[in-house]
Amino acid sequence: MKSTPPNNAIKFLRWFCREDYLDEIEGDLIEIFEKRFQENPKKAARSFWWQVLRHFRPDYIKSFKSPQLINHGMFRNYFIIALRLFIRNRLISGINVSGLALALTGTLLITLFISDELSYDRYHKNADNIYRVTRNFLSSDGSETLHLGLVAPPFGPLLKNDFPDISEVARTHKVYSSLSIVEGNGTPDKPINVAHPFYAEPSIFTVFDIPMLSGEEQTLLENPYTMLVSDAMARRYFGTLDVIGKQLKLEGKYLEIIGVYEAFPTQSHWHPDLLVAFSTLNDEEVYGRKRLESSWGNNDFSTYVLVNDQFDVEKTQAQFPDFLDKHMRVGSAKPSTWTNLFLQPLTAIHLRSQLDHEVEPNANINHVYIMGAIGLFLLLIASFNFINLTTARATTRGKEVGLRKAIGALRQQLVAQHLSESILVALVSFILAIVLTSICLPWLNEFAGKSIQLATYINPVSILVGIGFVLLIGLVAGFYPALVISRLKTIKILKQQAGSVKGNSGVRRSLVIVQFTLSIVIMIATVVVYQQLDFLKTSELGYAKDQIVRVDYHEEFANNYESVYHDLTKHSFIKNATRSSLIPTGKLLDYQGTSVQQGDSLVTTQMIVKDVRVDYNFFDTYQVPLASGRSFSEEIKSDDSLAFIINESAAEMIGWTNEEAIGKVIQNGSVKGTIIGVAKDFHFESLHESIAPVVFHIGPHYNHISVQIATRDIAEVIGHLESIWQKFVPHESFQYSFLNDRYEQLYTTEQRQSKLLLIFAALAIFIATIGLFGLATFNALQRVKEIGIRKVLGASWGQILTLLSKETLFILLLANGIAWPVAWYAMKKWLNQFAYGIEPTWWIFVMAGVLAAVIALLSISYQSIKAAFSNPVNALRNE
Amino acid sequence: MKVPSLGEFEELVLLMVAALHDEAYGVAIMEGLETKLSKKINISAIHVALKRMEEKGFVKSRFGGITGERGGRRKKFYVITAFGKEALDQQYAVRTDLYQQIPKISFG
Repeated sequence: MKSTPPNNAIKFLRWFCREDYLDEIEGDLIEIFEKRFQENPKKAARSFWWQVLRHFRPDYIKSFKSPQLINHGMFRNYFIIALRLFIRNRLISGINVSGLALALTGTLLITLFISDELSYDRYHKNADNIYRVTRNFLSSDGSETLHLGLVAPPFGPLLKNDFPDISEVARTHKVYSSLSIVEGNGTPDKPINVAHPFYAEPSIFTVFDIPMLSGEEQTLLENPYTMLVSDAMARRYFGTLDVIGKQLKLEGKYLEIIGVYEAFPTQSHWHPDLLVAFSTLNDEEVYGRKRLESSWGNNDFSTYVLVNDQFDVEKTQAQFPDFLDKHMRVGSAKPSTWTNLFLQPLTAIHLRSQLDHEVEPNANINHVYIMGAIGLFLLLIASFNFINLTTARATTRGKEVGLRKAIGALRQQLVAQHLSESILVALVSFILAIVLTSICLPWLNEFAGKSIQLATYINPVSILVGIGFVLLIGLVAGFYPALVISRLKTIKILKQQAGSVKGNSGVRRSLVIVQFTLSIVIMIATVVVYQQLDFLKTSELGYAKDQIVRVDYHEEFANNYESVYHDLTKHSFIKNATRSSLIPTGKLLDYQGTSVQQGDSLVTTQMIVKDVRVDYNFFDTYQVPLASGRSFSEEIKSDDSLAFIINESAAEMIGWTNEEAIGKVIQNGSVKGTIIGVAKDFHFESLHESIAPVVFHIGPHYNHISVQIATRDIAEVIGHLESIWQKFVPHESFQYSFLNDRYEQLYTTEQRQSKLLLIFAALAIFIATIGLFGLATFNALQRVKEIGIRKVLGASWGQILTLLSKETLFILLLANGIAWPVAWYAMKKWLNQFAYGIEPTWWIFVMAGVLAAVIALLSISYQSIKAAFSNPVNALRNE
Repeated sequence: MKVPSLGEFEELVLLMVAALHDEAYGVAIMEGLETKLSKKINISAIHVALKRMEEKGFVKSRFGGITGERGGRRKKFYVITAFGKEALDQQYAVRTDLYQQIPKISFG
């Protein structure tokens, strides 16, 4: 063992100790250490440390004040110089500030957007301890066929009962029955159309934070036939918040309003307009107590659980199969072989839940990532502008730097000077960006369907973050230029050896390459997204989506459908009408289990065959052709229950040709019947999904009437439809929609993405271009004399142009070379979410590249042409 | 001129410096005192005392040459100044004087 004292202790001593005492102290300590080391090495080391620490006292600690002189005059000088330079190089300064300001605006908007998206459902004080129960279904080969965000009603209470760590359970259920306001005094009830009415258990107040504006806190939703309304709802339908005691009618029952709660904030995954006591569902005419306890198939109840801190999600989920087998008494197979439950964190619902049935449509985390990436790109591009222009300009500041150095400026001082300049620019840009952001925010809100207020973000934390951000940008952007400038060699500058400051053009070039790479990637992405959208809008769906109006199907229609149908079709504008359980643009959620007769036995199909109930006119109304066989016919009696039409996908899945399928016997649910026709495949669902196997059959229950119209006079047709509605269902408001609107809604996310991309692509290209313009201007100025001499020696203007554009072309070539594969990969990923996507074509890439080249060349051409055509005498006579 | 005060420990160190004469440096002083007083003394206390006394003008110091020992660090040697000697003398005089005044009572 070597007898050297602990290294760290010596380092520490040397770090703090005054130079004039160090020799004595360190020497003495080492001497003592060496003596003690003979006796006990370990103890010696420990004692050495102790001795060092004993010396850590004010007497020996050196002064850590930097030797710099704090000189206010110097700071004033920095400021004046910065201001003068700013004014003298208006172009470059303007590009720096405006580029940074624009990029920061984009980034700020994106940050606001993202932080809003991330804040969903976090406002509940128990947010981290709330989970939603979800349920999936498995096919016979174990693959998941369906994953629902809503589950059957019996699960909630059983979960609370079986799992001690689940402290509370709250179930909600959408109110499907129509509601009307009881006016009293003989006035007829006023039917109202509420977007999100829910039944809810009283425990909803334990699980969630729902502030009450009026009403008894203790008895909320305890008693059946009581309800609460949101303040927005109360204002809308009653014009006042004083609504306690008012009545609404539901399924012939009177509900009394007993309280008003504050409407849920936008950042919630559901927004109930009114909450009806859950116990109302015990009423047989409303839902029925028995069904609540034993309906394992009615997966239409959002079930939220509040857990305590000991709760372990993984462990609990692992117990679910046993839990299901214990309680569910359905069929012969163990329930856990075909279904399972899951717990989904409340805060994950908005962004990470894309289940087959959600309370409200959710957003997608990928969208957040894409936006984040774009924000970062913008910031990078603008910072690179700053770095480039500042380093380029630094070469002209050689004399200033040289003089400062000559009269004794330290390197740190020069770095500090230039860093503070860049922080100043960042600060000015940031202030501009905040102003711009507040101007653009309403636009973002409208467009992203949000209600973000800048005011809510004004708090100490965000101000600190903002300041930190400005410093960071200033430091990142200013670091390299400051380094380059401070490194300049005094004598060389003062001797005017310009060559000495040229060494950084490689860095500059690579930064421009990165800028253009990013811009080109964003451009390609924009075009691909637009193309895909166009593809979605124009692709052959296999059915007629235009000129179809959908009307809610009501029970009153069922009783006299013949006269409804007669009334409908007697109008010359209405060509046809059909009833169905689902309509195209919807989601195929229902299935009953399908088996195929093979010999004497029934064999269950490999994949789920979705179930759609239609009537005799469905295929005519939607103009879906049959590949083989015939359509349902009222003439043939057995068609009303014993006949099936399947689609081509179903036939293919079972293994039949379209012709073979006709006459085959299948069983759908409990009904066994014959296939009478095969419908051509059509896109029932959005093009995100591949075409699923479907079996169509007649009735018995329907949800929609689809009316095929043949006119441009929409108002007339709607008027006619409404009059029929009034005739049969006078007590309810008329509900209709256009199929092509519903179709567009399937792609709202993509629409938004494409618009955002377009705007940010333009912004990115713009910022990159002004940067290049600035750089080109600067280069041309630097080379004025060179160009003059070349011209004098006989260079043509063409040669001069080539000389000046060559570098830019090279940069663009490289940028394209990097951007194309990156963009291709990214877009492939994006297109993967569609079952039917376009293949990104090569010309998009070429186009983006050429466009970038044109823009870049245009931006430098002004300077190049000016240089090429200028009179060399002007450039040279001053020499 | 008023003679600055001399603490008890400082006095001991100063006596040691005077006793070691020209060979007094941190470790030597420490070891000398440790043997005389037969108790552990911390080197940092010696350093502090030396530094204070140097400020008061009781000792002056010089650096020794660099040797291979002590990690190549120089020794700092202290010698007592005339002023220091005077302070010691005074202290000694006061003590002796006081000692003389102890009544001759038998302590046996």
